[in-house]
Amino acid sequence: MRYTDNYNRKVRITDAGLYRLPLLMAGVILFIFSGCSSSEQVQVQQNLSPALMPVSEIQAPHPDPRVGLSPGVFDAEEAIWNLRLISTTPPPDNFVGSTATDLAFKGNYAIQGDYNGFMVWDISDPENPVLVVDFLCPASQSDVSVYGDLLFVSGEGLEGRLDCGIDAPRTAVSEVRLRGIRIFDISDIRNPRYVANVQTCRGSHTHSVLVDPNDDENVYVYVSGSAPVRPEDELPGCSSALPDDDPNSALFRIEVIKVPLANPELAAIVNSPRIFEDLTAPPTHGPAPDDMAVIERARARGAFVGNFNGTPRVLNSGMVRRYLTRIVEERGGTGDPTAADSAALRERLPEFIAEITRLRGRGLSGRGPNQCHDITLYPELGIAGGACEGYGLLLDISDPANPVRIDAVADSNFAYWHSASFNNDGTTVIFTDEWGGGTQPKCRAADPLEWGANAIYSIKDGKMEFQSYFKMSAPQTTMENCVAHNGSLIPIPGRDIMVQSWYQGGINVFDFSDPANPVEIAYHDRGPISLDRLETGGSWSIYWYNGVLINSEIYRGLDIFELLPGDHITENEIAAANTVQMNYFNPQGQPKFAWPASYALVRAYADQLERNREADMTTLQMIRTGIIEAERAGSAGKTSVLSRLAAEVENRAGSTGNPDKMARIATALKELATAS
Amino acid sequence: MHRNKTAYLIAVVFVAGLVGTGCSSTEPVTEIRQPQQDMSDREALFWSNRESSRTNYTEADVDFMTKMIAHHAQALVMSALARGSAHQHSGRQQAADMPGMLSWEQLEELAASKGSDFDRSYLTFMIQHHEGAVIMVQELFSTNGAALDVEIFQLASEINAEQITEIERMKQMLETMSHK
Repeated sequence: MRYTDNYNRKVRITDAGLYRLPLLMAGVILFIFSGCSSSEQVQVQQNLSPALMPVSEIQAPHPDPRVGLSPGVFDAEEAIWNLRLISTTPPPDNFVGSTATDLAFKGNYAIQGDYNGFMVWDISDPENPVLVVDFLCPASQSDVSVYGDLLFVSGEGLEGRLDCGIDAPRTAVSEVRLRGIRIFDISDIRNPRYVANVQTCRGSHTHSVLVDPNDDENVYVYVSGSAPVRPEDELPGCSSALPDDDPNSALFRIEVIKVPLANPELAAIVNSPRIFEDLTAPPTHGPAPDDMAVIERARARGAFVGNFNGTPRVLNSGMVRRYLTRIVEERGGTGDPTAADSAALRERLPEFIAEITRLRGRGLSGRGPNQCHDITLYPELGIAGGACEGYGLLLDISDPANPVRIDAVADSNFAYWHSASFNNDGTTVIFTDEWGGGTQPKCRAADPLEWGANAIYSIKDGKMEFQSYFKMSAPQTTMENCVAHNGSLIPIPGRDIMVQSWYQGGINVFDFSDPANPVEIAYHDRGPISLDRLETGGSWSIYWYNGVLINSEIYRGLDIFELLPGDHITENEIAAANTVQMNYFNPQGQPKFAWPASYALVRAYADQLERNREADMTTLQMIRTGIIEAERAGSAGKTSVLSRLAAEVENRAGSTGNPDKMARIATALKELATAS
Repeated sequence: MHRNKTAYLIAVVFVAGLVGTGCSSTEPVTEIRQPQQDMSDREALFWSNRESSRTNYTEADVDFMTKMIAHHAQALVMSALARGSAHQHSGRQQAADMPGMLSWEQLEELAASKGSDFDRSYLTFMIQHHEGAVIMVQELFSTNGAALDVEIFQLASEINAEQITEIERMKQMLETMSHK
């Protein structure tokens, strides 16, 4: 359904509620148990069946309304599902047409990088974000991070100047060129002061600020730069020779900068770890379940299945014909191959495959990646995910200046490992593949959903195991650059949910609690900027920050969304997520979320038990009515109600399908019982 | 419940259809996007800024892009030889003054070789070819005023990183082959 709203945006709204009116009735019953306070409504209904739909059964709007949206720079048609766009605010005139990049957050401010510099938005009122700083300081890509009173900005392009001037240095070797990290003092965030630089040999495409839990005097900045090495005349010591020829080569390494918080002007490179050293042949993940099924079916009907570097593949008929002909020739025979030839082929298949892999160079110890594109740090767990060109790396960062590689994965479906995100438990890591570099249309109808997608790995004992791919699935036009890009977790307790950018493919929200079966549960998309030519635009990054989703739109400014409740995420789950409050947030420095005990938390867990059919409705009603009673009992009477409920929950935990979640409910109830 | 849902789906589609036909003032959307018509000042500024960012190219940038096209075309010819599908005269017109480009004689040598000789020649020539691309990027970056445009910068950076990695990989492959 399309309509034109007050802001003159052309919107296709897909209302979750309209879709599931029958569930509304169940919802009303739920509401009675969870929200209302009049006593006659608190009654236990017997034989209720679970109403919340399992995530895997959620029906996305069909046909997909993201297909065929009309174009426009600031007035493109939009499609939205399970989200509300609270506001969209265009960039100031001096940033119009310039590329906005990544986001960082401090207090009530969102800092948005831009090839022109950076902007600071006051987001206290999400309906009306107010631009408070537009700082001109050109350099791509101006990725931003904050810590304390400091703002860090990446400079990689040749146009960056030490003094932030807008006249790009026009000589190949320049004394005024900045390629590396700029440091600003933002103790008065409305008046940033440029206080320091750290120059690096390859500039800084991205960076990640590591806040070491054991060090409150310094932070560390991991710098990734993928551009060519600068001339030694511009920055002494920079060598672009291959490491075999020059051990000091700036290639095949990252830089670690130590920043003394009290003296940021003393920030300097303290290590250049070669975390790619000795990367041998890329291990490949096993086939996805569907591929495996195809292979098993092929095997069952007698097809030739070979083992290519540990991955089974069905030989195509051309290969089989060639090998059979060869076997016939080798025995000096003529004519059609016999059954014995066929058996001989089965026998000799490993030998033939070894020939192929030798020829293609696979299985050889080729040199691995030259650089990382991005590194996501998870300091509380002492690990980091490195998205490094042809590899996804797992790093141990417990010694901040000396990251050590503990595992590496590669995948022939992945063209360019771009960024990483962990789930909150650190048991799952998502890597994105920026196939085509982000400037190309890679979401066309015929593009495989495994290419330019996310790859989801589980982490067990420091090893990554492939689980699945996930890609925004609505076909986009050839005028829309589209591929997996940046995103963050949404802190729904008890579930793994991420919001992510797909450039002109828009943004989406997906549930990867079951890492083998990710499910899209919400989205927003605009039509192309133009149907006449491809302008590299769309969403650069979107992150959850203190209850809202903030989107850095490359040309269209700043969007702020909120989640709409439904079966996919209930009101209670949203309320529980919103109990998480951050003072600052750098998406490349992942914080570990902790949820304070709250009634919303208990209700959210109860909703999940219902959604996943893990507890019977009687148990869930007991929990829900118990909470209402406790709310009604007030501070004086709630302790006994909650303690009793906690004991009963513990008592029943073992008979449910998720004793762990029941235990978490009990823990929260006990904390609530004793809280004043 | 599922049957009910289907019924509601039909209703939603029906209502959507009504809205679609009833509120024709919001449609068809294609009419709204006529160029120069109804364009906001901001959009006009956007297009003018995008245009001016495109006039930032230096001769070295244009030269790099033009040469890179020819350079890549030769790599395609080499790959076609590897697949045994190259046409006899393809690549004849390649400019010879670009770094790393194979001479016509080298291409013929490659086309004439077979089996492991072909593999070795292919890798040797492809390394030469890739090194040419790296040299071209270095030349670009050492030219005053070049690669200031972000798109050129990005493309050249990507080519650089990719080719260096590939060269390393091919060198390793060659080494492994010569040990056999």
